[in-house]
Amino acid sequence: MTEHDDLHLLAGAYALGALDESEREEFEKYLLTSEEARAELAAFTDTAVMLGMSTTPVTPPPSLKGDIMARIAVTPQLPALESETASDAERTDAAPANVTSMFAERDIRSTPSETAAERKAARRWYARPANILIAAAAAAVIFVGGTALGTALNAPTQQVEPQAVGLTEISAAADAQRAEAAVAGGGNATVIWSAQLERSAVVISDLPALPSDKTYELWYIDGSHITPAGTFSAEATGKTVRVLDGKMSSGDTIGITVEPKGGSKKPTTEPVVAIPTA
Amino acid sequence: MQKKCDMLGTVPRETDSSKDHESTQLPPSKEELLGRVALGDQKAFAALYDEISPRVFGLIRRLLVDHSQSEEVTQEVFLEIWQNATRYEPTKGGASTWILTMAHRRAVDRIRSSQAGRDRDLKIGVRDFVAEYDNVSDAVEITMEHERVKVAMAQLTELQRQAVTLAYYGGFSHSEVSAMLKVPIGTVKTRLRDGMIRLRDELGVAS
Repeated sequence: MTEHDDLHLLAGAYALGALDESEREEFEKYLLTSEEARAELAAFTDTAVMLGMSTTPVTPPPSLKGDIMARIAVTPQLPALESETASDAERTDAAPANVTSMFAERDIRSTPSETAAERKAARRWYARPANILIAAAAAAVIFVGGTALGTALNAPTQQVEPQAVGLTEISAAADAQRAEAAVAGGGNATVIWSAQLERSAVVISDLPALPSDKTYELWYIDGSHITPAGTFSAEATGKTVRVLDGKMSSGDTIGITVEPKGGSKKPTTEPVVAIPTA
Repeated sequence: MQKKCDMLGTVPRETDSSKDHESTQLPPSKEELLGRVALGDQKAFAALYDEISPRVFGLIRRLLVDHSQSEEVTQEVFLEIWQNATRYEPTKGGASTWILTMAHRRAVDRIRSSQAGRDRDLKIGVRDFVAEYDNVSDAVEITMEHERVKVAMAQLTELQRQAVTLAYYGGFSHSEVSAMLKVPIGTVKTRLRDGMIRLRDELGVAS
């Protein structure tokens, strides 16, 4: 039996996910060399998917969708692949072992209209700051003969923007909730909060930029008791993320007003949006 | 299949409004949805989520058993879908294939890389896995594919069936399967392949 025959025999185990890491890699290399093996694997993969489809569907808890939608809203997409060749170096970072949290960091600047350079820059967001491990979500999947081959981008270590970290922490909280509303004057705001953490964040899409003598300001509104929660400006790329300063009390309404540059101690205009957190 | 509808009811978000179709109808093409997701369309992503998350979550939970870990891995899978939609090529396979293959791999990775698998293994033995598979037909809700797979599975030899079941639904590696079934590892490899060939033919999957 030649070595290729041996590898050929692994197609079943591969499609069923029964190979260990090193065999998996070996088999994937072999796949690149054999049209026949790719064809067999494509059919085996479809067969395995039938096995998957035969399991009883289980609707995930509704909160999961909210969490995922909040995450993808601020998570960059990978640039389309120019080359489908995965080098060994690229694969090294693909293993998700010891990853405590495999959620990707979000790139608050990412929009579909970004340039190639910006997309390249966005890759750096797949980083591993000290206490937030990301890694595996950066794994890309390419198709060879109908089956997914894991590859990954190199993940240089880099600090993630504090706003994104804050948002990650809040939306990862067990009691994280979200609500959205349209912003008067343009844009759509989503508030994500955790009563447990007493923190909240806003993610606003397509927020119009203000003249330079104006700023957006956030407020905790509890009836007539209104507390400032920080100022911010609209991100030019269309996705603005701001973690609110101070502590959120349960049931606060989160409001945004337009204020003179530097912000105000009390709102001086009507809120462009107000979102209750109850 | 009813659960899809339940879910739509419990997540009253405006992004869901386009997804009011009956689950008994042919769903809107997931490939098309993925194509829109690749352009950064979050509504398409929400629609795709509604469409396929019960499948993804059901499969992952079948493997991981633990509910909260299953939620975590499901999140990972959907993030991966979002990030990699730009690389999905409809000419190379259906969206369900792409997504469920990813989900299965993620679940297996979680089992291999964490204590989860070991904890789980302590609780569940071979007999339970194989028995569980046989008993799923008693569940109130079964999929169309379930019947077909059950019929196809019945065509396998006992050893093929056990090996395939332990590998796919149990997430066990072939060396683990070899130890559990007390047969040489080479035998497991060939049985897994023979078994898949038989299943492929029985299920009418084009090769």
